[in-house]
Amino acid sequence: MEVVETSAAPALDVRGLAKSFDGRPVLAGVDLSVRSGEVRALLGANGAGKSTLINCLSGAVSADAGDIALGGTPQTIRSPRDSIRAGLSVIYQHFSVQDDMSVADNIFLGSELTARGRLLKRQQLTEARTILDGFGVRIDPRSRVGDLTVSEKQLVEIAKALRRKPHVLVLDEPTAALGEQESALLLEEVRGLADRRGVGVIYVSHRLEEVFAISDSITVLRDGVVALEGRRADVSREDVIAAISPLAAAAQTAASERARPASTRRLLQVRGLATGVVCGLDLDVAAGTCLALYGNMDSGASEVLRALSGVVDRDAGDVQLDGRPYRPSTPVQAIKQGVAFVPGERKQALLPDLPASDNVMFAHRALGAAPLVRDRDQEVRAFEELAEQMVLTPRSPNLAGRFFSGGNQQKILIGRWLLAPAAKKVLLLDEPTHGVDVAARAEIWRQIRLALADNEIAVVFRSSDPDEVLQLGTDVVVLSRGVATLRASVADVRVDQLIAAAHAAEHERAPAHV
Amino acid sequence: MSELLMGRVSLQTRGLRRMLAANALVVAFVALVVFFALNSDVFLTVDNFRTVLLQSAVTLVVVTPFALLLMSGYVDLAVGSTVGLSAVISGWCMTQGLPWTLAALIGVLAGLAVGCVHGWLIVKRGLSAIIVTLGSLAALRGLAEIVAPDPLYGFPTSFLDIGTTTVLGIPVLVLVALVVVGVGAAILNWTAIGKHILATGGNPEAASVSGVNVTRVGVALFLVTGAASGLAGVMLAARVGSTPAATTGDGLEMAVLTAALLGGVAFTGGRGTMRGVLLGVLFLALLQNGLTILNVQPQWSLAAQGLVLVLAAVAEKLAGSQHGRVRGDRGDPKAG
Repeated sequence: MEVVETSAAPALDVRGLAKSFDGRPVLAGVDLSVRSGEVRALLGANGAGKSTLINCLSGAVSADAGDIALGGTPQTIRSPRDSIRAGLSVIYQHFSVQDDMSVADNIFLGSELTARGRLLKRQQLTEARTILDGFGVRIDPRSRVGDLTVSEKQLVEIAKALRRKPHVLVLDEPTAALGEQESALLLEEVRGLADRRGVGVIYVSHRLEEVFAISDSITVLRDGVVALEGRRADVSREDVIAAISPLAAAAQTAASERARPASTRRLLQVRGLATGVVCGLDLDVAAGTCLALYGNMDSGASEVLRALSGVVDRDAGDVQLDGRPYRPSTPVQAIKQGVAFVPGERKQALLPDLPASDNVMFAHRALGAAPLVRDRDQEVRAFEELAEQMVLTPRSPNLAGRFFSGGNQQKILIGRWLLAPAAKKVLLLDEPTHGVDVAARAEIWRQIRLALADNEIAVVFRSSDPDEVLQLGTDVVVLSRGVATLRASVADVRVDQLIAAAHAAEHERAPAHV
Repeated sequence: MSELLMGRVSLQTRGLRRMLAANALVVAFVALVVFFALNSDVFLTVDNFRTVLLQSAVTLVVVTPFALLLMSGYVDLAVGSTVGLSAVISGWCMTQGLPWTLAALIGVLAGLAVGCVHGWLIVKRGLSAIIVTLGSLAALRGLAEIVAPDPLYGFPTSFLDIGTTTVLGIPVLVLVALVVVGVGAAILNWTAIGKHILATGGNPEAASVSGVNVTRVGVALFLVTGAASGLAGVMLAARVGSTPAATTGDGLEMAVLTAALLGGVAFTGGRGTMRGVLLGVLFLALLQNGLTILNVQPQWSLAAQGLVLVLAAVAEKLAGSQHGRVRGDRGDPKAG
């Protein structure tokens, strides 16, 4: 497909874009350019900087350094209004819709049709209907958005962006919530916008199939810099995968060399688990092993952990813990039986204003390994041991939790369970190293492996990062829309198989329209 | 298939429940009128209704911007004290010999100044609306008592005439109130600003990325609420003819909050209609009036008003539970 050059200056030109959060660089000088009529795919693992890049373009976040130009004109983007005015439209993965407002009001929010201050409701309804009809879907523009399905909401979001007739359109994983038919229509629509109206498109997706079907060029981000840039015709699937996660190959070898534990004592047996989107899930976890649950945001993997930890009550299913029936209705009950959970969001577990030693001691207390009356020496010893083992910095037991960096907070939250001197059976970790720097990540992985080494406990973790799955896991179960689509030993599986399996069930369970 | 059918059934009952919830106030309103009409000869008379409307005029002027502010996700608990301060200041100006027009303007500006401080602290600096306005609820009342330790009276007759004049049998103050309510309803229903107010309260982040200037919406509503409270203070001074600092506008925040919640405005913002708010104000006023006519002691009347506020919160909870999570919504952006 030959792209017609409509103007000399690119529709969007980004140079040297940089952004740090809490001193941690997330974008470290990114260049990105899209011509009119070009579809550029933007790829990268979680934490590679894609979201921050999009947020800088949309004005949700201000960049620390770098230049953004649209159609050759330099732009200062300090707010979403600046971005919209410059001709940029972003379609968010997490919808920016108003549940209590109608579809038409949502589509026109922020750029309403008015005549002398008066809202032109009828005209908005007609135009909204025209745009939605263009998708071939039947959504009444008068209906309340809160009553729509997830995929319908996504379509409303897309209609809203297209309505503004942008020069540059950014789509952040737009098909994640769509069924096959809707995805195909959307891809066609996006391609049409580029070909016919000369819109420059940045298309963010994890689905390589889609990327190769729709894009003219590809950019891969990794650790805040461009890892690969090229025309689609010049790069292969393998190049892209290697650029996304170069460690994958190395991890593969490491995994096959890792000795499988001799023990076959089954610590956790799950049969027919149903919770949230998950239904009929079976899992077997032997002592000394580490089971990885891999999947996208909507895969249900997180819900599995929440059900097993007693945070939510499961809908159905039989779970045996070390040969005994296990059905906790609160996390306290789960912990009493030896099952601890570390949530994916640090702020859900850390007590930011309490000293680090107190944060450590919560695990001891919950497991009944601390006296009723506080023993200060024991607390400091427990902290010191964790600090020693996990290479924690700073090693100050009295420092409040929030003053530790993200990586060190995570070391406290995971380490306190690993090192608590009490009977534990299963540790449930949700994204154990999300948003954690490389060194801390390696340390956390090392400690988890160490804790597994004497075949007493088992770990079940969820990760949306293939690297982590292959580095840390013994076995992997891939979930897609609540269904297990792949079960394998980590030694026998490749990254692209993981990614493919994570999307496998999406086409079969397209949400039905009312 | 059966899953689909069940979905439809629940959708229908949900629609029915929502319709009932939306019209619960109308039903209660009619029941209230019928009850008092059956138990009193004077309740259902033109004169009595004129009195009720006159007493509601001040409430209506304040509740209009107050309800819009609530829809945008903020709250102003200091409206009653602002009314008191404005009444006292304009009254004091008149006793110092200023023409009443100028005195009234100063009263409105005093309210605007209060709104300005609220908007800056709460919207710009991100402080809690409840704490800041609860603070000014006490501070402004104290200030009013400092300005005028003794009740002020002896205002010019031209000023007091505003409180008694009628046009075609309708008191001028009621006409002013109806204009304010009308403007509020027009803004909410017929302008983009109305949509921006609801969006700011419904999902501020989403409103912001859609290009809505959420800061401006919030600040503007605090300013308008302050100015309207100032106007209401002047109206109250004209009607009553004196401005005791300790009681002028006292408890008005309760009345407007109860009326707005009764009328279906969500305390957390994002939802509400002016029709409901108007009905809420009239419901409260008729309740108060009817109880007075039936010679119920004022303590009981106050208790009834408090009970209605709690009932309004219950009704809001019931109405709210029909939105959102019913379908097992997975699209919660905060859960990610």
